[in-house]
This record gives sequence, structure tokens and C-alpha cells, in this order.
Amino acid sequence: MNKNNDLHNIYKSRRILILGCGYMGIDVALRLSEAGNIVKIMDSDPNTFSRIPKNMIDSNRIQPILGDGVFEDDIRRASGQKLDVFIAATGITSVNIMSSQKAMHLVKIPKVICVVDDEDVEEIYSQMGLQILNRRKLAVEHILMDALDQK
Amino acid sequence: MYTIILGGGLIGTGIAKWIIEAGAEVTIIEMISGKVDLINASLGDVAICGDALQISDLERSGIVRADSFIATTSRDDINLMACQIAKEKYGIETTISLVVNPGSDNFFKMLGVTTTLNITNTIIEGIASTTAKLFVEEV
Repeated sequence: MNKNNDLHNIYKSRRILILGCGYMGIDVALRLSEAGNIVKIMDSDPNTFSRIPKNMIDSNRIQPILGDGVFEDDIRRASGQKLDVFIAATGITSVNIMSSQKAMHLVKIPKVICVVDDEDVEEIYSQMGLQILNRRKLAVEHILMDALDQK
Repeated sequence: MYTIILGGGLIGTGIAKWIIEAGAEVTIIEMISGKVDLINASLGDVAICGDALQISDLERSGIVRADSFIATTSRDDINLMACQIAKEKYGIETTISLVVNPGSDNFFKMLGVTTTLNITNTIIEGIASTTAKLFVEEV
């Protein structure tokens, strides 16, 4: 019984909104789309959408949405039906922090991931219940492991 | 009574001036060094150059002994995050924030900001109340 549930969970396609059409947002979008999820990517600058491979947009596998993630209305508009996952991956920590909290507390998206670059910020907001991903720390840890052959 | 003000614009420096005249202590955190020099030349040494979202800059402002924190930048995301850090990390009870987005006041309060002032709503209401007559006649 449990096993079936697990399998169901793994193969279930999720509705995911990524905030920030930078290189990180696009790479995450591509991987999530390849894995069979329904992926939307939001940015306030329409020029950024030209970075998304054209075939992914034409085949509707990644849907670009013009909007500003710090506005609750824009997150709701992008959500369409209910979203399963929200990922704040712009290059600006304060924008990620604010939009993540709106997604979590106001739009009530079940899973919210917030990308930051700062260890102090990671500590403060982890304690407040936000799921934080510190990309700077992750990169440094990987470089250290590689440099010291500890993989 | 010690207050930290984020943002050395007209609003931030105006509040600082008022606090100094009231005889209390204040520090302004401002990112642009030119503005910091101007403030210090006119108000005495009250401004420091720094980024209020950096813990090291916050601590340089003496936030550990502050009683209140006022965020006056024009960016909601920066104001909110600075107030949250002041409250959650340094236990500052009184946090006051300017809010630009007309619909965000309750969100700020829900996340623990004590007092908000919505500049957009304030301006719209101010203009509406002084010009209401003009539009009523039209209808």
C-alpha cells in the first residue's frame, strides 16, 4: 500500500511556477519540464523569455508569464488552477524572500522554495518556516569536496 | 530611546531630524555614500553607509541596542525584509515600514511589522479628497 503511494507520488506531474527567468530559473524549468511537470516561468522583463529554448515555448512545455512576483495578484494569475510548487529564483534575495512569503501565506501554495545567497538570511528565514536554498553555500561545499577529493 | 532608520531619502532624513529635535538617538542606514555625507553635514554624524540586508552593516549601526526600526525605502521587498530581520534576529518590538503596493499593508502586519504607512493609498486618498468636488459635479 505504502509502496503504491510512493510510486504515485514520484510519477505524479506537478504544477510548478518558477519566479525569475535568469539562467538558474531556466535550467530548473528545463529539468522539471523534462521530468514531466507542468512548468510556468514568470519574469517582469519580457526580454528574458528569449533565453528559453524556442521549441520549449512552442510545444507549450515551458509557459512564460509576464508578471512581478512581489505582487500577490500576479502570483495568483500565474497559478491558474492550483499550484503544487513555487520556486523563487530571481537574482535578488529580498524579492525572493517577499514573493516566497506571499506564495506561502497568501496564495497558500503547498511547497515553496526560496533561493538565497546569504547564510544569515538562510538562518533567519529557515527558523520562520521558509524552505531556503542557499546556492552560494551549496556551490562552495561542492567546490570544497571536489578540491579535497571527498566525493 | 534608540531608533534605526533605513533609507536616507527625504522621508528618512525628515524623520531623523524630528527624532533628534525630540532629544532621542537615531542612526540612518543609507546605501549611497554621497547621500550619507550630505546627511552627516547637515544633521551631525547620524548616517552610516551600508546595506540594511547585510547583517554586518546592521550591527555597525548598533542594532543590538535599538528600540525601534523604521524602513523608508521605496522598495517593499527591502523594507519588509529589513523589518523582519530587526524583529526576528534582534528582537526589536517596534518596527515601522513604508509600503508602496496598495494591497500589501495586511501582509506586512501578518508577518510581524508593527505599523505600516501606505504611501500610495495616502497620496490617492489625499488627492481624491481634495478634488472630489470636481468629479461629483460631472456626474
